[in-house]
Amino acid sequence: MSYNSSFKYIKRSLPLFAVLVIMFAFTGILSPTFLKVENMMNIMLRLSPLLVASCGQTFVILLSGIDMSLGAVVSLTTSVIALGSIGSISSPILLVFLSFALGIGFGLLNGYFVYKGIAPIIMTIGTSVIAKGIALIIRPIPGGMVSLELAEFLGLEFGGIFSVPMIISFSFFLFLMWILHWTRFGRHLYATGANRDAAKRAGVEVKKTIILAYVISSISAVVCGLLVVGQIWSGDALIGEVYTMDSVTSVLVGGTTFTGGEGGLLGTFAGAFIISMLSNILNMLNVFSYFQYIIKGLILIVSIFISFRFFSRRRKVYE
Amino acid sequence: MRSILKNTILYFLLLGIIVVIGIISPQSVLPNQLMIVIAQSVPLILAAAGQSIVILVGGIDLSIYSVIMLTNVVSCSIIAGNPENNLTAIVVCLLLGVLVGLINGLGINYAGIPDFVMTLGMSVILQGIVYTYSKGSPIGSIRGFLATLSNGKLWSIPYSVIFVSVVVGLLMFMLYKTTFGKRLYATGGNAVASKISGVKVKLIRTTAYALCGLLTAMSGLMLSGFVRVASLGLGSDYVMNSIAATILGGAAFSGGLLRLENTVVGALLLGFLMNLLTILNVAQSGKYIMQGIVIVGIAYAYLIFRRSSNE
Amino acid sequence: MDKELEVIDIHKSFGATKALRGVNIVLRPGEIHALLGENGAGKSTLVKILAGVLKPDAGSIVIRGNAHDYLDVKKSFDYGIRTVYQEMDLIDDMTVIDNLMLAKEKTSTFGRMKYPQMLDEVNKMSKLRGVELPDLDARVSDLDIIHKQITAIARAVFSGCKILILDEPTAVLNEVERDKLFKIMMTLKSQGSSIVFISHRLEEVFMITDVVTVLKDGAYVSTACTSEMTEGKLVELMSGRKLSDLYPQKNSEFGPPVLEIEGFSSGIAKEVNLEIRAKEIFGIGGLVGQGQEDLVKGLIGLVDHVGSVRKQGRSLKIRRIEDAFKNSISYVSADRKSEGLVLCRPIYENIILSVLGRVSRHGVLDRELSSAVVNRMIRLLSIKSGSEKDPVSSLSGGNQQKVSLSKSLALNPEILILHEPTRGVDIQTRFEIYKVLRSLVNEGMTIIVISSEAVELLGLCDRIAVMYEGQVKGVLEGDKVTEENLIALANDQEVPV
Repeated sequence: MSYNSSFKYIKRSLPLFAVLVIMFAFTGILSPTFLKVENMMNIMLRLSPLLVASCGQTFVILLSGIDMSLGAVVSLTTSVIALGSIGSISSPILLVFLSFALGIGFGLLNGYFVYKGIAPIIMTIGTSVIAKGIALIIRPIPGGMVSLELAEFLGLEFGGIFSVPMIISFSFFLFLMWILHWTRFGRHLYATGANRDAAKRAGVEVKKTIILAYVISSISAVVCGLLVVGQIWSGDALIGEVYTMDSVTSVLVGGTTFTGGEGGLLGTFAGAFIISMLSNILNMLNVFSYFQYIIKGLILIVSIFISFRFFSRRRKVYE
Repeated sequence: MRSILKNTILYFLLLGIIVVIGIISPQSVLPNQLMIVIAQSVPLILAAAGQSIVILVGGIDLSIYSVIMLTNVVSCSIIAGNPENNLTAIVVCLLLGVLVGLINGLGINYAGIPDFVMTLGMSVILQGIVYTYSKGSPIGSIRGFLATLSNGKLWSIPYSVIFVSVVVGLLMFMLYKTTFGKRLYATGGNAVASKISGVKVKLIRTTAYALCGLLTAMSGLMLSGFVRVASLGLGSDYVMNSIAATILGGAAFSGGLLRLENTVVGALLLGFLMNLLTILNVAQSGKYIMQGIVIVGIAYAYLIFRRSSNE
Repeated sequence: MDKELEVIDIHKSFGATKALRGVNIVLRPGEIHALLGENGAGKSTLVKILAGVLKPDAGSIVIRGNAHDYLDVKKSFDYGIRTVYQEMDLIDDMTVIDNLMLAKEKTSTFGRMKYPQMLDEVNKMSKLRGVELPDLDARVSDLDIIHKQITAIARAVFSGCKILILDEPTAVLNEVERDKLFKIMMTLKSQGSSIVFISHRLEEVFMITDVVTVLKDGAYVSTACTSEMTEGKLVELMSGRKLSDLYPQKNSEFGPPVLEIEGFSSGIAKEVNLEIRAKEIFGIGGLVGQGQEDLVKGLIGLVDHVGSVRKQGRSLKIRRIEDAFKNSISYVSADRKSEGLVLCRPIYENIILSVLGRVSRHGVLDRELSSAVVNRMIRLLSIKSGSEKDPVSSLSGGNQQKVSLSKSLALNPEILILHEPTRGVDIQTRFEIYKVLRSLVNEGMTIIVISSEAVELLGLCDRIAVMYEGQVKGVLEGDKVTEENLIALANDQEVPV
């Protein structure tokens, strides 16, 4: 983006941040404990893994695709890390490397076959099940032993308001922002998502672009998984599932459209913030826990409706 | 030649799997046993039929699991062990299925919400409703008509198999021989051209979703009759398996191409595959992996087939 | 003289269609080379092969001495071949500068983009090549067509272009804009680049090109210096017939007005007043994008409109396409692949798609009724196919167009509207289609034709309305139906008396 259009994009994301502020204010008035530092830390803790996952999902949705395997890779990561006690595989660094290797592997698979022409939703549903299966083999029931040092590090809080998850997630977000808006790859990503054929004819290496996007998504799933480990201190082959839907919700709420080529990470940040605040807020207001499902689903649908009606430039041709 | 191969390879695969089962465990291929596996696949066949109709028009339905869950909980609590309530339960559940499908269809086609978002959101909302309604532990049980339908036999052919054959037969007639069917195919093949040709695209697609909802509700009722109680995890694999069966059956994911009978074979294939894996003592995790590989593998295979025949 | 590019004996088929059979072309440095041929002659296919988007089935491509069986996008790019298509191929959602620099961004180590350098380079380039660029931060989708064209050409020209292929660049330009384009082309020529220029307007060929090559029905016909050619000779080479043979005899007797349009505004079209008579083929011409499409789509209800439409005296209210069908008006879209046909479905399904209600009883298809319709259409239009159950995608372009046409004819309309009726269709098929159209009109149908090919309008239509910027500038009739008059009105000039 040249300088001017960056400003246009920030402008478009402003309403979202306004919504965020309103949510803060509203809940703060209704329930003063909400604004306490402890609660804020809680929110940050919830936000961090979701933020990371949503950033990765953004790249894929910009290509008009989707990564349904994100949650499964999160679970897989926790399961692998929870191998920390088994015999010789006890070095946490090794396990982290293994997690990344697996994640990148899935990303490559996803990216390659999506490039070849398998619909993203099918491909990633397929890989998600494979990943789930592998996770279940490694960790049939939640538990396992995570290296204490690693777990402590991943959950560390200091200075009263800072925490390692926060730092990791925010740095990840900034790093991905840089990739998206300041590198050639980011431009190619937008172009491929907007019009794959035109991009190809202009000389964009569509294959590399698509594969890299899915790899980034899987890597973010791995990082998300690491942050989850910092919270649950164990492995769980099913814990990541909620991240699939929540990351998609965050991205779409954040204004990135599913038609591809429009949107960005700033909006995703706001979206992830809103979603993670939601559970917290609903708890504060004593809303029955399963009811939150309903609210989340409604928010997803309504926000897409709004973003589509008012923001998207491309519509289905037969409208 | 190639198209003949494309269509029959599925049947050969199915036969192959049954042969393998027979080799490993000869008792498992007795007609009785085969019938049991087929009967167990009936709910999936119904759900896959619904899903393939939606995929035919170029959409997808990710809310299948939640509709099954809804049907299961509602039917159990209405019947509550009392056979007289069967009719009410069936009618209510079918209507609910149609309603959910209708809402999906309206949201997708008239409000412009993309299909995976709408059905995903719907799924979450429905699950929330069910959880809230049942407070995590649903009650009730099924006795009477539904239980008999799902478990009983007529001269050693399960009622459920007869039922699903009738339903599939009707669907095939609808798809291949009626104007509605032709419009479904046209819409899926090229919605813009269909619209310009006078097809009411939005209406057709919405109806497809409503039909899928109906079929999913039927599937849920069948499953409920089979297990006879309310169980919150019921049907959790059905979204993926219904998509897999449709893809296995050679339908184009972008729409416009579908042979329903092949989807049925695809569902049976999955059923027997799972059977084989169970006989081999493969754990659930292995089954998942197998399913994933099958989905990706077949999707890719058909892609290659289609590419090479288009060149 | 050395050869920049040589294409030797290239063959290419798509399923049943033989798009190119044994084409040879030689392009020299600093040469502006016209590539001529009717619709369906194979020009687009050849261009795509040179751009690396398609692989030929046989033959070779030699660039500056290097021989290849085929090119891919990258190789073509590296050789300096740049194509500007009619659809311009820009990324609509991105800005001008994004499009200009796409795939050629200046980056540092990690691929970080250096915006200031890119801006600099673009500004330098535009001065060098004499190109005035539109606002660099404007979104391409917001630009008007000439600026889109300039952006597309700038993108091609800025990145080391040695061979520039322009596919119908002037179809959307008026005279002033076209002259700007020609200036740019001459600058490029003087810098040593070669240009392949495709256009349907023969007078342009004589204005700017050095050499002309003619293709017909996928085969190579001849190459000659432009100076040694005349328009008449070119027409004969392109169509293989004298102009008078290709189009059937026109009518001299017409019926009463069957369609009266007053104060009609739809999309770009503004305040259109037209009167169309029974038994005539009425053409709507002008440069591409002057409102012809909006006018017609408004008439059939695909686009919102205001104004009055009367058919045989009765006022029509057409809000959706079904209303148009009910009033016996039917429409054949310009783009058969995306708007006209359901390619993956069988031929017979496509033909009966608009008349499903008429070939069924109580919602169930009646085999006899539908066969009757399908067979009638196949006979009427001489559709050549294996079986009616074959998918439409298996047909040649010409036959596909016939299927698209039969879908609309199956309605037995009183008024048939055709948009680009012979786009991508070979000569023989065009001849057949023209014959059918004329015979339908003689039996009482009214036909409206929109075409960007002047020759087609002139040969086929009894009267032609010419549009410019949404308004009808004039209706040509009788002996006033000439190419000069058509061009004059299309450029908003007075018709010479």
